[in-house]
Amino acid sequence: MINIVDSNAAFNWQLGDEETVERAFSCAEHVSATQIVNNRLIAAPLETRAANGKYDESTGRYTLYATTQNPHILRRVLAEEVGIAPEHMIDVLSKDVGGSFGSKIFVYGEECLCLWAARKLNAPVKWSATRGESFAADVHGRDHLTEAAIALDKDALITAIKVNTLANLGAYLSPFGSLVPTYNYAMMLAGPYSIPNVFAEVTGMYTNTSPVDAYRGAGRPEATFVVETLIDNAANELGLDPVELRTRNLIQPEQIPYQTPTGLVFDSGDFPAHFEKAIERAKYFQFNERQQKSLRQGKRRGVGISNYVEACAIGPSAIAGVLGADYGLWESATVRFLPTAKLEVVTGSHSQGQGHETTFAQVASSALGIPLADISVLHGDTRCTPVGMGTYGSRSLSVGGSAVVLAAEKLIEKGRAIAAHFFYCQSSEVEFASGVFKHADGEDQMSIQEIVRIAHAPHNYPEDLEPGMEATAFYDPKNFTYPSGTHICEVEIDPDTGSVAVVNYTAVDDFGVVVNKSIVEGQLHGGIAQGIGQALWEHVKYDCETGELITKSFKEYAVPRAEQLPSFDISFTQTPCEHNPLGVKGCGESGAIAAPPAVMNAIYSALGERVSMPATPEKIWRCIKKSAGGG
Amino acid sequence: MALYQKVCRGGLNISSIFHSPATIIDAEAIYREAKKPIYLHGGQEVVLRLQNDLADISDLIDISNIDELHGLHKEGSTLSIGAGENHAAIAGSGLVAQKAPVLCELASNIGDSQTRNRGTIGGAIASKTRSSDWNAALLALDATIHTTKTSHMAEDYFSRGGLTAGELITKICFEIPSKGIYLKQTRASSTDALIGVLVSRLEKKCRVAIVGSQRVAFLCPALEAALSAKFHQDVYDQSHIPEGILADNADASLEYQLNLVEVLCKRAISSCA
Ligand SMILES: Cc1cc2nc3c(=O)[nH]c(=O)nc-3n(C[C@H](O)[C@H](O)[C@H](O)COP(=O)(O)OP(=O)(O)OC[C@H]3O[C@@H](n4cnc5c(N)ncnc54)[C@H](O)[C@@H]3O)c2cc1C
Repeated sequence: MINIVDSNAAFNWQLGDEETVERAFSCAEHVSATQIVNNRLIAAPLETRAANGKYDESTGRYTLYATTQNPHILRRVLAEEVGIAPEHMIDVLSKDVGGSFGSKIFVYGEECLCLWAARKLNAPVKWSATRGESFAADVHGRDHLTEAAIALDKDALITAIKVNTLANLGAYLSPFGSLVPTYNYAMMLAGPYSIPNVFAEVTGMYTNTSPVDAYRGAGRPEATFVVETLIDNAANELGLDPVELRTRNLIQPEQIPYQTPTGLVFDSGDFPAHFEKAIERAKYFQFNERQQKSLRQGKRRGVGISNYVEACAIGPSAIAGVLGADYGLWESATVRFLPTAKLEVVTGSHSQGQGHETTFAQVASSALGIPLADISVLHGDTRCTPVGMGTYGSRSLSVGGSAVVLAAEKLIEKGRAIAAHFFYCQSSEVEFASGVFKHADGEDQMSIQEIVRIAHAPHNYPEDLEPGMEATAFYDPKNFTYPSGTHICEVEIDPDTGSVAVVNYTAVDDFGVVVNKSIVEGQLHGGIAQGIGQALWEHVKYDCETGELITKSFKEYAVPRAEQLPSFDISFTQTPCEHNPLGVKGCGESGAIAAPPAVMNAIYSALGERVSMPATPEKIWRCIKKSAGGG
Repeated sequence: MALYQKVCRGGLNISSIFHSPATIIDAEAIYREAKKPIYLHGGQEVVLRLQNDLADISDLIDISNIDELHGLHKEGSTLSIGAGENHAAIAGSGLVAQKAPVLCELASNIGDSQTRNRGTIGGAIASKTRSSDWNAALLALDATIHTTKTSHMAEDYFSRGGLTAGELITKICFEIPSKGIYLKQTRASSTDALIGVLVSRLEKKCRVAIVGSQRVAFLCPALEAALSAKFHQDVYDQSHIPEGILADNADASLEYQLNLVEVLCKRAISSCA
């Protein structure tokens, strides 16, 4: 090997003012420091990646069927970066994708090769990953090694947090590989707490492993884990109840809008509201009784709290620009009435199982007063969807759903003009509600269905108005949205075997307006399961000597199974997002963000000591043995 | 006779002839004549093998329609279970619950409900999976494995090479224990035993069988002897466990596995006392 570089550090990045933070630490009454490992994870969607490339010699067009979260971005990269063909000569279709969790955002070599080979061979070329290939070659998540410290004053108010993180980037820099452990991570390092000073230093490291990039939560779970670990450690050292320490430091509703020391502005939120509700629902203050009961059965019981706030619904295009991206982060929608007054909602978002077909239809239905049965939602086909930015970062409903609202509003405006023509009045005198246009001061009214038929048969029609009933809108959010919540986990540990049972799990989240409760609950179930999985079982291992992936199948890589999980108690508080038309905040990642610290704090509460994730029975057994032996 | 077509990865097509005989004699005859046949029951192992193994299988012989392989009966001092009974049927059987509840318990903790409703005891024993829970029951309940050719005592079955080509397991006879407890600690990634311990009290002796991921189950004669003198968890001593069978593996260190053996043995013994 020729040594051409001095080190495997790809970059060193900082956020915050080191000097001010050091000053806060030097005047602190109490300082708590710890080392944190955030274990490396595999996304493991049910469907592995697959692609089918086609080339049509007669037209020169390429068609790629791929399991991507963002068909338009894939097309742009295939054209602009890979150079397969100009953008307008490539069609990308991505239908019914079986899960992704971030791992299908990226453009991988196989998709490109399928297209390239299809032209070479003049035949369709199909590829699908085996589970082993998927584990080895899809991007992995997390993988941080962090030194973290927290400073508190005499009233146990947190004055500063500082972290120094080594982030494993893998062997190649993946598209968001540098974003996830920097901005996505460090900007959340004050959590929902009023912490004036934060300093983060992150070094991205190249290693002989698969690239690490966005995986459900992407940076926010790592940050939440740091903050919630530090707070519980400090509470323990100060002899304070973890609830008390959190209560003293939570940002209060009257402080909202709140400027964080890391550059974000929380537009809405009531953190004490979900915190108090969760404590109540989890019967936190009756924990001792349950603990005594467990003790009588020879079991150790622990309870752990995790508060989080995250920045999602990415995001304002201007911020992407500041960070150096040459793309925007808006979303698009076309809302199209067919001549029979049935509706097509065509979105630039993409569903990999999140149920957009349901929620987007609900949004259009309530905006236009059309029955759900008359609406179909289309996505995942660059041939017939407006250019879109796809799905990741819990953005679909907040950004894509907002575009649907804007497009629907354009149609309502047009409907008013048509109705006004028949009511012999001004558009401004026409009111619209529940699918009916009404003259404000008269008896006249027309249903939206009648208006749509007229727009398609414009025989008697306003002058200068276009026929048809179809509108496209693009929505660029003004800010991130900030979902927040409190999760409380209770575990029971068998001290002889180290086995952990998650016995209770309470989640109270504020996602703003909830459009579809079952879908939101489903997102939480999956996210919490993955979070518990990270805390207790999941861990990517490589052979240190050969660099070979050891956890190359579900035999070696343990994902959670339904029977290992309790029934989750899920409820909500609601403070609507202030800056999008739906008031929604995004719920896709919260479970995976909140759960790991909740579980690990519960184990800490049961053992009085920290073990690293995943908290395997053997690690716990060793920890108990060590403390029993006085070592 | 239907054609069973398997579309393999990479577009390879492998076709095997699918048979569905109704009697053991027919099944064996088909087996003898085929080039590279395999018996198929619940398919929990076979399907996996078909997926991973490109080696051609000429004939798939589905034995699930053979009545002779079914049935749960008390035969003298033994409980006889047909090789074709699936785990769910065993777990739900009133007779088994009455005669050897430990087997219901064991069967009901195998895999998931799909696996329990497809996978059979015969298939589990024939495939000789190391960590199979049934291995513990075979040893600890002095089982006899009846086949179309002969019958095997459980210990011989494990130590000798198992079945010969075309030999079918027909039923398994377990000695009915006065007490029996099976406890297992699963691996993280499945319900397979990291360590499983079955302690039984038979008419003339007690048995302690251990399954782990290292080798098929093994008995602990020294511990059994100590328990025969005094059936109490206090007699347990690490030295009673045969050495050199368990070892460090990717899931757990030897030290931790030995701790599990101790904890599970003591718990099982005290439950059987
Ligand atoms: C998801 C999953 C989870 C599992 N979890 C557990 C667990 O927790 N504990 C545990 O102990 N086991 C577990 N198993 C193993 C399971 O018990 C066996 O796979 C199953 O019992 C095999 O039976 P089968 O009828 O499906 O066999 P098949 O797959 O049909 O056959 C298996 C092999 O046995 C041969 N065979 C089948 N029947 C006979 C017969 N009567 N005579 C001779 N040869 C025969 C076949 O030719 C083949 O070689 C699990 C399996 C799966 C897939």
